[in-house]
This record gives sequence, structure tokens and C-alpha cells, in this order.
Amino acid sequence: MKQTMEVTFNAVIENENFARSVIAAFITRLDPTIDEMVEVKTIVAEAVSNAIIHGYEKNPECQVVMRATIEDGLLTIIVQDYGKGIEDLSKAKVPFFSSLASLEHAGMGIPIIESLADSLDIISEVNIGTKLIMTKQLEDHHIG
Amino acid sequence: MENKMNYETNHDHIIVKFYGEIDCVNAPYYRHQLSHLFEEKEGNVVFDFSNTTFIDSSGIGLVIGRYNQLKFDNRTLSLTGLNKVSYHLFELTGLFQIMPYYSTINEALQGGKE
Repeated sequence: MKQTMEVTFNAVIENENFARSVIAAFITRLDPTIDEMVEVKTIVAEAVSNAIIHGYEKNPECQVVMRATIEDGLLTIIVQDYGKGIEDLSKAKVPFFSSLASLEHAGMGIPIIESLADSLDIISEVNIGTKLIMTKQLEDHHIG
Repeated sequence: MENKMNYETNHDHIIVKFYGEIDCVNAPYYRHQLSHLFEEKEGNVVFDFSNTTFIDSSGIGLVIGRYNQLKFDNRTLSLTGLNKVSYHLFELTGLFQIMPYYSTINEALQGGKE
């Protein structure tokens, strides 16, 4: 059976932690391994902090939407904001080490998601918003 | 587990231990604390993540920032104790190209000596 959930929350950085807890609770039913749990929480942390920090520039009036579905162990997570959008998608995707080394905020969100998720699709339009669609196949550890 | 950070000194090293999660909420606080600590106390530094359950890109940014601060004074930063997922992320972001990783604190203390 396909299972779904959706939460909407304000664009304040404390809600990165909230979103992590929500996704952790949602996937607990699949009995994920500790590594799978950390990977999924990291995917959500990067997607949600991108929406809050880059999409909305931490404007607490704005709302981030996170939706997730589980079907046959396939987890799909959608994180959506209606913020400023990404001007140059190709730039956001490149882990550019020399710029990274000079920045305190690493700006590694997208490469990290790409590395931990099985797939990542980004739909973004300037001043309309950004939608990240991520999938990850989880083992079903339930017996019987 | 409570999110917190503490440190101890061992000969000429400062060992910083992180507990719980490092994310965009507590990373700025740790940054502030550590940058003061490294101004006050001399010596090379080891970050011990043995009790850290979660690190996101803010945590990686924190490590890079402190590395740059220490490097400016010709001091080293070594890492130890990362869990499997965090190790993978640190590797992905190229951190091990600029700072060493050791499997134990003792190795980190030895390795940082030369």
C-alpha cells in the first residue's frame, strides 16, 4: 500500500531539525538501518536548509512544504518552496572545492543529496520557487 | 543524546569532542565558541566525532572554517571518530585532501606531532 504524508512549516532554521524528526518517524515503519536513517535525515536536512536559507533567505513568514511517500520500500521525498528560485542550476550542482574551502557555509547541499539519494530532480524558476524530488529505495527489514 | 561540545587538552593538543547532532542550528554557536577557544589556547587541534550522530553541510562548513583559522597560525586540524555516513560526506566534499583523518584519537595525537 502506498503511504503518504505532508507537512508545512515556517522558514526558520530550527525547522530543519523538525523536518528531520518527521521524516525519521515516517520511515521508522520500514525498520531502516542506522545508516539508512542517517542518510535520509541528511537528504532532508540539506533540502530543507536550502529552501529556508537560499529559497526564502530565512523569512519566517514563508512556508516550506515537505511531502513523502513510501511504496514498496521506495521512499520519495518532495521539498518545495515558493521563494526566489535558482538562477543557474548547473552551478548549484557542482561541488566546487576551491570556493568551498573559502566559505564557512559549505554550499554542498545539492552534491550531498545527489550522493545519498538514488535520484534527484530539481524544478526551479526564478521568483517562483524550487521543488526538489528525491527518491531512495530502502530495504524492507520486516520479517513475514 | 544532548547536543553539546567540550574540549580537553593533551600535551600540546586541544581535543574537541562533539556530542549528538551538528546542524545549521548549533553550528554557528560552535563556530563562535571554537574560534574564541583557538584564539585563547595554542596547539594543534583534534576534532573527535565518536559521539556525533549526525553532521550536515553546516557541520562540514564549521570544520572548514576552523581549519582555515588554524592554518593561518600554522596549526593543524585532524579528525577522528566519524560514522560511516559522515565519513562518506567528508570524503565527498574533499576534506581529507586538506586535513588528515585518523581511526583513533591516539593516532591523531601521534600524527599531528611532526
